[in-house]
Amino acid sequence: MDIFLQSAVLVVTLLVLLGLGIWVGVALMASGVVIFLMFTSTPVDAILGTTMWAHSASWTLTALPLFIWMGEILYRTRLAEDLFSGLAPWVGRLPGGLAHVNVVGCGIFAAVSGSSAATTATVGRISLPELKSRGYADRLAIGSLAGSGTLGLLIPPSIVMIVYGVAAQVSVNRLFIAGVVPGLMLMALFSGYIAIWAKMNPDGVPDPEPRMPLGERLRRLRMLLPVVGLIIGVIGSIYAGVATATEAAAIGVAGALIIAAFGRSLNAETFVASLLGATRTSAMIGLILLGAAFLTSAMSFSGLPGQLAELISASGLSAAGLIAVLTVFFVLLGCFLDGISIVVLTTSVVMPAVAAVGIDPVWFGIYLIIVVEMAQITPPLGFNLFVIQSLTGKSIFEITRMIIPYFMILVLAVILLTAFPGIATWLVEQTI
Amino acid sequence: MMLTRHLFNFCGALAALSLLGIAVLILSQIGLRLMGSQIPSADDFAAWGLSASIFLALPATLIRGDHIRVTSLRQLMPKRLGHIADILAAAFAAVMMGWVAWAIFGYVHESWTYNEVSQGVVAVPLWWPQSAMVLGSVLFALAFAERTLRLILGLPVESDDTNEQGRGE
Amino acid sequence: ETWKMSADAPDGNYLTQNIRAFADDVARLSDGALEIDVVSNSVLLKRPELKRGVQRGIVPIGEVLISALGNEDAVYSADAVPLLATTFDEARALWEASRPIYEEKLAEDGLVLLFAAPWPPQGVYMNREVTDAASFEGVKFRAYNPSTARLAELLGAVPATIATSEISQAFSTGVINGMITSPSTGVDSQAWDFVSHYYDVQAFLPKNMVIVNKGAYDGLSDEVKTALQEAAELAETRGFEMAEEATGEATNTMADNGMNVLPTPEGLASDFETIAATMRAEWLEQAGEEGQKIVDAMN
Ligand code: NA
Ligand code: NA
Repeated sequence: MDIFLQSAVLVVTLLVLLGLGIWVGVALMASGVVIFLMFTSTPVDAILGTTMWAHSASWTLTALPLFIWMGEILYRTRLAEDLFSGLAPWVGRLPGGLAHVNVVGCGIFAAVSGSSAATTATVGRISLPELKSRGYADRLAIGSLAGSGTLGLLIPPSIVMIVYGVAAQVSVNRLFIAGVVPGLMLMALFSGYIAIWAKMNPDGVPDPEPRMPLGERLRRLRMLLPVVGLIIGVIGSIYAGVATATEAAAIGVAGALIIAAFGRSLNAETFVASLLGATRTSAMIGLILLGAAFLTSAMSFSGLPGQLAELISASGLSAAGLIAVLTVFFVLLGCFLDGISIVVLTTSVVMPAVAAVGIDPVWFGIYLIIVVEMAQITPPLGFNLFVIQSLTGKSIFEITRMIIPYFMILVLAVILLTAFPGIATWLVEQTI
Repeated sequence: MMLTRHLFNFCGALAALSLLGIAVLILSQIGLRLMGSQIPSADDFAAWGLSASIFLALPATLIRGDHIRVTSLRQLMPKRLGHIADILAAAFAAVMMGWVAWAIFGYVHESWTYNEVSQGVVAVPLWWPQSAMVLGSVLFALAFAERTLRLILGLPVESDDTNEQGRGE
Repeated sequence: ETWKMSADAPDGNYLTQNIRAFADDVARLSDGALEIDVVSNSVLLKRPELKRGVQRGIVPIGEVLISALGNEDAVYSADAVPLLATTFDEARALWEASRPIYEEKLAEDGLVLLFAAPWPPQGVYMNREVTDAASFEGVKFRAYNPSTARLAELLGAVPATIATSEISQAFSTGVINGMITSPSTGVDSQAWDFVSHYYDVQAFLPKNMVIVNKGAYDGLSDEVKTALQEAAELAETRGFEMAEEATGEATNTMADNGMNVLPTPEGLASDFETIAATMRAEWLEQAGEEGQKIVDAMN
C-alpha cells in the first residue's frame, strides 16, 4: 500500500508543480521535500546541504560546462557554416540530406563526451541554426538531435556505464567495448528513419542541391579541416593518454579557441559572450541536476524504486519476461528520474534477479543504458528535452511530439538487442 | 531594484571567472603531467570551481529567463489568470529557495564548526569553497523575491541579454 | 525500530556482505526490536559525507574508511602508514591499539564506534615490470590522499590525481602507469582488463569502521544495546576472517585471469623499508603523542 501511496504522491506533486509553471529544478526539490517529510524520518535540511555540495562539487561533471563553452565558442565562428557547406555537396542528394549531420555529429561527439546533455547541447548549438536556415523542418532537425543526443551514453566513454560498472561490479572497459556496436546500430536506425521520413515528406527538406563537379566538391572538403582537426585533437588526447575523458573537455575548449582565433572571430567581446552564455546554460542544467539529485536522494531514503524493483525481481519471471517487465518499469521511472539516478537506485536490487535467470551482466548493462537513454527524452523530466527547450525556446510538449519516432527506435533497439544478444557481446568476445 | 540586478550580474561574472578557472586549471594539469609534475588536488579544486560556477550563476540566469519551466498550461490561461499564476509561481519559488538557502547556510556553518576538511591530497577547510553555495543560493532566493515584487508592481522581470541571445531559430 | 545504514562498498564486496550479516545478527539478537536496513555502495551518503552525516543524524549508522578521515586528524591514518602492520594479526594488534583513541575522539563528535573490518593488504598495480624504486622513475602513480601522494614521491614516481571512476580508462590509455590498492578492489574493477602486473607488497591494511549516532544509540533500551554490541563483536571477528579468505581468493582470481601476480622484488623490498621508515617518522610527527601511544601499544 505504502508503495502505491508514495508513487501517487510523487507523480501528483511533480505534475502539479510543473503544471503551475514552477521552474523544473525548484519543482524537483519541492517534490523531494514532500517525499522526505511524508515517507522518511530523515532531517531534510541536513540532507539538502549534503546533496547540494556532493552533486555540485563534482569532478566528472566539470566536462559538461566545458563542452558547452566549446559549443558557444564554435557557434560564434564560421565552423558550423563551413561544416555544412563542405558536407552539402556530398550528402545533399541523399534522402534527408544534412539532417544526417545530427546523427553523425552526435555519434562522433559521443565518442568524446560521457554525457547525453553535453552531446545534445554542443551539437545542437552548432547544427540547429544551420538546419533551420537551410529549410529543414523543425520536426526533423529537433527530433533527430534529441534522439541522437542520447548516444552520448551508449558510445564510450559514458558516465552511466561507469556508474553501472561500479554498482554491478562489471568491468567498465568491457561495457565501453560492448557499447560500440549497439551505438553504431542506433546511428544506422536513426539515419534510416530520417531517410524514410524525408522521402515521405518532401516539404520538410530543402530541394536537393544542384550537382557540383567533383573538383569543386573536393575543394569544398577543405572547409571540414577545422572540425576534423578538433575531433582528432580531442579524441586523440584521450587515446594517446594525454588527458582523461573528463580533462579532454578542456582540450576541446582550447581547440575551439584556436579555431576561433584563426577564423578571426575571437575577440574580447565574443570571448566574454561565449563564456557568459556557457556559464548560464550550465547553471540552468545545474539547477535541474541538483533538483534531480535531491529527489533521487529522497527516493534512496524512502526506498520506493528499490521496493518496486524488488516486486518485479521476486515475481519469478523468465529472462524474456523479466526484461519486458523491467523495460516498462524503467520507462515509467524514466519519466520522473534521470538516467544515472535510475541506475544508482535500482541496480543493486535488480542484479540478483538478473543473475538468477542467467542474463550476462555486460549485456544487461547495455540494455540498461538504452532504456536509460529513453529517460533522457521522455516528459516531464527529460534532460535532452530541457536542453532543446533552452536552445530553441519551443515547449516541452512540442518537442516531445517531435521525438516520438526516435523513442520508438530506442524501443526497437531494445527488441533487437534482446533477440540478438550478440549485438552487445560479440565485440567484447573478439577483443578481450 | 537596479542595485539587486547589478549584484546578480556581478555574481554571474564571478561564476564565469570560475568556469574560466576550471579550464585553465585542467589545461595546466595536463601540461604539468606531461612534464612529470602535477597540481596537487587539482580534481578537488576543479570540482569546487564548478560548484561555485553553478551557484553563483543561478540569479543571473533567472533574470535573463534562461531557467527552464513548463509553460504549456500557462499559455492556455487568460491574461489576468496567467499573471496571477506567474506571481504564485515566483512566490512559491522564493519561499522554496529561501528554505534551500537557509539549509545550505546551516550545512556550511556546520562544516565550519565541525572543522570539516577535504579528504584529497591537500587538506582544505571545506567551508571556504562551500561559501560560494551560500552566496549563490541566498541571492537566488532574493532574485525570486524580487521577481515576485516586480510582477506585483507590473514591472518587467526578464532583461534580454545585451549580447546575442543565441536561440537556434 | 528500523535504522537505515549506509554501507561503503558495492554488494559483491565481502565488507558489505559482512554488514548484511551484521544486520541479520542485530535483528536476531534483539528479537526484532532493532532492524537495520542496509543500503550499499555509498548510495545514501558518499564517503566524504558519511561521518558528518551520521553525526548529524541523516542516517543513525554508517560505515566509512577510517583513513579517509586522515586529513581531519592524522591519528586516523594509522592503518595507512606503510609497513606498520602488514599481516592480519598485526592489523588486529594495530586496531586494538588504536581503538580506544578513536573511541574517545568519536565520542567528542557525538559518535559511538561499533567495530572495524579490514580491507586486504594493499599491493602495487603496474603496467610494466619493476625491480626496485629506480624503476618507478617518471612513472605516473595514482595518488588520492596525502599519504599515497607522499609514497609516490618517495618512490621517485610522479603522483597523479585520478578520480576512482576514471582509473580503468586512465590505465588503458597510459594517463597513469601504477597505483596502490587492495586485490579485492582489483577484482571488483576487473583490473586484468587494463593492467598487467600485481606486486603483493602488503604495504598496509586499511579498515572500514562502523559508527553510530550517539543520540540514536542512547535511545535504545539496554537489551537492544547489548544485542547491538554482541552483533558488532561477531561482525568484527567475521570481518577479519572474511578479509583473510577474500585476500587469497582475489589474488588467485587475478592470476587466473592472466595477470602477473608477483611477490615484492628484493630490491623493491629494501627500498620500501627505507620509504616506510621515512613515512612512519613523518606520521608520528603529525599524529603526536596519540600516534606514539599506538606504536608503543603494538610492541
Ligand atoms: Na559517450
Ligand atoms: Na524522462
